[in-house]
Amino acid sequence: MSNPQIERNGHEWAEERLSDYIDDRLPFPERNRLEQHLQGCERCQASLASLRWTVSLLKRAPAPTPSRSFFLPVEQKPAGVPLFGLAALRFATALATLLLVSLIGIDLILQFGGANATARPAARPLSPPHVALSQPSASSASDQSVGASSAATAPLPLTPGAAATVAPPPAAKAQSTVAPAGAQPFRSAGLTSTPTYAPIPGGSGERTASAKSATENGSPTRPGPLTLGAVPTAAPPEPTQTPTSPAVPPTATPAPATATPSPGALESKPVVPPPSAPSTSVVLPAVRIGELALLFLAVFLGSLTVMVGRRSRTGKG
Amino acid sequence: MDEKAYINAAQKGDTAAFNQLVRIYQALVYRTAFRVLGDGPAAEDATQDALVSAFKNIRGFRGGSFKAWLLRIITNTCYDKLRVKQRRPTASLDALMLNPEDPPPGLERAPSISPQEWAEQRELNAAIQRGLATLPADQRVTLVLVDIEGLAYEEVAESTGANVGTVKSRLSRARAHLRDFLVAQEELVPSHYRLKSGRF
Repeated sequence: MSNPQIERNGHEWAEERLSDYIDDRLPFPERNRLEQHLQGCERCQASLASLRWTVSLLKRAPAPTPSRSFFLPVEQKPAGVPLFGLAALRFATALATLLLVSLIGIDLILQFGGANATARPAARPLSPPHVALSQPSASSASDQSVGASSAATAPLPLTPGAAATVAPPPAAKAQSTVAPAGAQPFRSAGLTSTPTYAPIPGGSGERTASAKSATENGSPTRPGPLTLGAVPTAAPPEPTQTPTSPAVPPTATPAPATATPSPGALESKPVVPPPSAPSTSVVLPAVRIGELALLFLAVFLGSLTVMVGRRSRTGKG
Repeated sequence: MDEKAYINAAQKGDTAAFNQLVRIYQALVYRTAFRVLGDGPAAEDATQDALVSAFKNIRGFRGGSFKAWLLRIITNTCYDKLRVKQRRPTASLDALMLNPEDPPPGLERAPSISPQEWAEQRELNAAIQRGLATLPADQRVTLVLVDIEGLAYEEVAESTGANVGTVKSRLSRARAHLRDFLVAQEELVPSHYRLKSGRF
């Protein structure tokens, strides 16, 4: 007599393995045991038959066919391709925006900072005496001999930072002219005239050039504010001293020949034109045009970036 | 060109090469979606979504069975659609407007089949779909891939992200469940295919 518990357990055990048995996936020892059980168990035989019937029905099920094709449109690209284009577009947009901001900055500087710079010689307040007196020492940094002579006469201590940034007083400008910053000073043995100073915004470079020319002339005179009296009365240059306004450097350059009426100097002194610094009246419109062009470019690129980004997100691009 | 060459070309952005893969696998993908979702238009949508997703992500395919990779995408797409359907049950307008005598969308009569055979096949299909609808999604997918599409356990394991033991277990339970359903609802099965007909 068989134990019902063992018998029930045997049915369950067999039932769990029928699926693998149908697919011939049951390991040999288990398959052997299952086949032995099936031989004496009608219930499990029926179960196996119904399971085979179910599987056969599934295999006979009619195959559905789609009503259309699923080919992708040719212009579709995998994820990486539009992303690269999108990155390039974003970079271009950022670059255009950066350029636009830079141009606006330049515009502001030209409009306000440039105006201040050009108005500086005329509207400049009186410089403190120690600043003016420091100028010879500033030139001494570039020229040893002049520095030595100026150190002997300069009574006040120097502040190097101030000396480097302060423009020459207008009184000195009336006496001396100098080649523009960066230009080679004229080296001629016959150059005996006292140097005249053409005011060019810039400061220390001018004075250095002035000091050099003074040394070459053999004149121990200090460039720039040679007299203490000139410092507190640093008034804008008068037209009689510098015929052209110092506020407009390009137009002031031809003047020095007439400013110092020394005949010897006129013979040998070359007229050195200052660097062709474009006036703000010429530069500003160009900057504004550039700003407008960059603004349009940035807006266009930004719109394009947004469109491409949306398309790539929705998978249409 | 073989399948690997098509895959390589598609990974470089060649849509035409990917369409060759679509040509090879679209029927399999659609059939799987149809059996899992039980609805022709929904299966078409799922197939389209899965193939577009496959093309977008084909750079992430790192070798192995492309068929299994594609089936994994379609099964995941089907799971998503089933979840949405469960959350927001909807009735298909197409299904409501169709004549019950008409074949369901996605099933077309082959010219070689007689009208009687076609009628029986439609009945059989309806019975199977009803039975499949009673199964949990993971069992349904496993049963469809093994017994209808004829994939090996290992392929199904790769397609569903499960191990082979889980596939065996799911398949055993799914078969037993469907068998119980079909035996209980045997009148749904055409007489020609019934168990008692002695043909099985």
